[in-house]
Amino acid sequence: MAYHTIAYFAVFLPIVILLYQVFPKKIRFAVILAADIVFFWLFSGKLIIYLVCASLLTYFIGLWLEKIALNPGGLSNKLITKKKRRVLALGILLNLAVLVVLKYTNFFGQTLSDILNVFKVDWTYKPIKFMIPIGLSFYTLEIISYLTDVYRGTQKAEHNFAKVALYLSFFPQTMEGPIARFHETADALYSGESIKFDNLKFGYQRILWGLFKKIVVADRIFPTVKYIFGNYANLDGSIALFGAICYVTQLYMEFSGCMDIVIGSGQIFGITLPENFRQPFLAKNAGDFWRRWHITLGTFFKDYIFYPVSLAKPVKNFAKKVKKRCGRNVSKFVAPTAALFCVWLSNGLWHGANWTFIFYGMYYFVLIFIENILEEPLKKFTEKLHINMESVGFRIFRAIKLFIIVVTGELFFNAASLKDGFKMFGRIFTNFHISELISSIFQLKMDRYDIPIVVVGIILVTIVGALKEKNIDIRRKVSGWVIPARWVFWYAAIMLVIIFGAYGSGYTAVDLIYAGY
Amino acid sequence: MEELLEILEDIQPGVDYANCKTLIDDHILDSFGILSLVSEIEDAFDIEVSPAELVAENFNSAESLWKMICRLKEEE
Repeated sequence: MAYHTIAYFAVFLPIVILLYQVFPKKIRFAVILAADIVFFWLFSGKLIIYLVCASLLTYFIGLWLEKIALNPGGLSNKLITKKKRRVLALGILLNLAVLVVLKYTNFFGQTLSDILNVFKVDWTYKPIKFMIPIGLSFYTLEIISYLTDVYRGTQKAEHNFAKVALYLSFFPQTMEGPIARFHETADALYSGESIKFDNLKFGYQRILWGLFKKIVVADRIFPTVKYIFGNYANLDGSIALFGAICYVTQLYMEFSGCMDIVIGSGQIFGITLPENFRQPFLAKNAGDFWRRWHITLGTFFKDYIFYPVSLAKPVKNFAKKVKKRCGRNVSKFVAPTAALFCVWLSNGLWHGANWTFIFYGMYYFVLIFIENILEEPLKKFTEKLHINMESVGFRIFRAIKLFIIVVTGELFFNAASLKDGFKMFGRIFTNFHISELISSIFQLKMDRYDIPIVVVGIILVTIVGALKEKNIDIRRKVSGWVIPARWVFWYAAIMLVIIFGAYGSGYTAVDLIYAGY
Repeated sequence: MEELLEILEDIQPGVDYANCKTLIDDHILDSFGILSLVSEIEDAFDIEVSPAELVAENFNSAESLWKMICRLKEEE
């Protein structure tokens, strides 16, 4: 029952809304919690025990941190911090251990086996089949953020277990996030406020927009992506490039579409979930792109890895030594670069246990490192040559450069293995004949109906994105129209999704990509 | 305060630091700029800034930065 299925938005969600509204305010939180349990159970069954244990552990570790901070024994500040740090480490390590064992054991085992084979040690790793609960990677990060905030004193430890459980299990977030902070959702989830008509209306409108992106655009592209990535060795380089561009489009439409459904679902209950996308393709560079793409993952890494690593004593001491020897212009890059490396290694590993993801992380580490180093010289250079960086020409150049960067990264991200990624990438440069792509465009699993629908869909999403960048919200605009015009607009939008959605006979249901991470 | 304004001007010139209250919200200071600033103010005011302090409320204006510096000096 993924978010884009009728079972979710036309059956499950309306039932939860109805029950939520029918029950008294005081126990509405229990309706949400019950819905969370049912939703989780439908995907992972008995594996819900992982989530229950993680919630209990998080709750008690939070209280333990608070107890130490209250300092009943009259300890010195230094000793309190030391004790708190140990408890925080225990909480984080216990949760991370589950993630690491379930997700990475086979990867590490296989890597060890490969290394030993290089040294002629005859040992083969036998993969273990692990059952992974849905959303493990997402709720583990939420646990880390909550515990760290309690440790830092920026979040009070929660005494009500229901709030912790609601925070970690809210059903719209279960599959793909967004990774929220405790203060963003917990109180609102527990408060049981009545559903407002405006929230219901705007929430479902946003769900409709998400469905459009997912089932009208992304799911029509999916067969082409699957075919090209699976057969690139027999295809022309131009088709390989087309496949990578299609994958970027599919991933954006799908992930951002899913986020629309998720955020819309939250809005119905009065829960403001954090945004995960902000027109990423209008970014100035790779660094800016990641401030607009999967925003909650980026801010998590910034707050809980980038800053702590940058401000860690050994890193700061090393930076000071570099400053003495090489000056401030060099030393200022030391701490951020060390932290950036940790962030991108974690980002790669978080996406999955595969060298393609680690390469993907390192790819962005190198790119953003270069951007940081070149920022000032480039600024001086463009000023000297009187190049207007805000001119239309320069912005087009910047957009093309960013698109190439993103497409290249996603090509490796979606490749079956690193070897496949390099081979596919190589074909673009060694076997490129654009005529091959033009002549075979209708043999790439998208027929003559799919292509115009996808193109119109992309244009529509681009226009809405460009307007959003200028702070123009279509939904708010439409809500100001006269009633008949409003009805015609939304009726047409619903019909558009029903008629042009890629479902039913001839289409296979496409799973949500990020639900697998 | 004068010294802080000088540090800010040195890290990112051309900003009206005396009046700007949206250094973070308007992306005038990015995460790299924040780290450069932290390194400089730690040296200049002999304080230690923890990751918990790196929030928009503390870095949005020269005034809020100064308040944080004074508070950290008191806690030292």
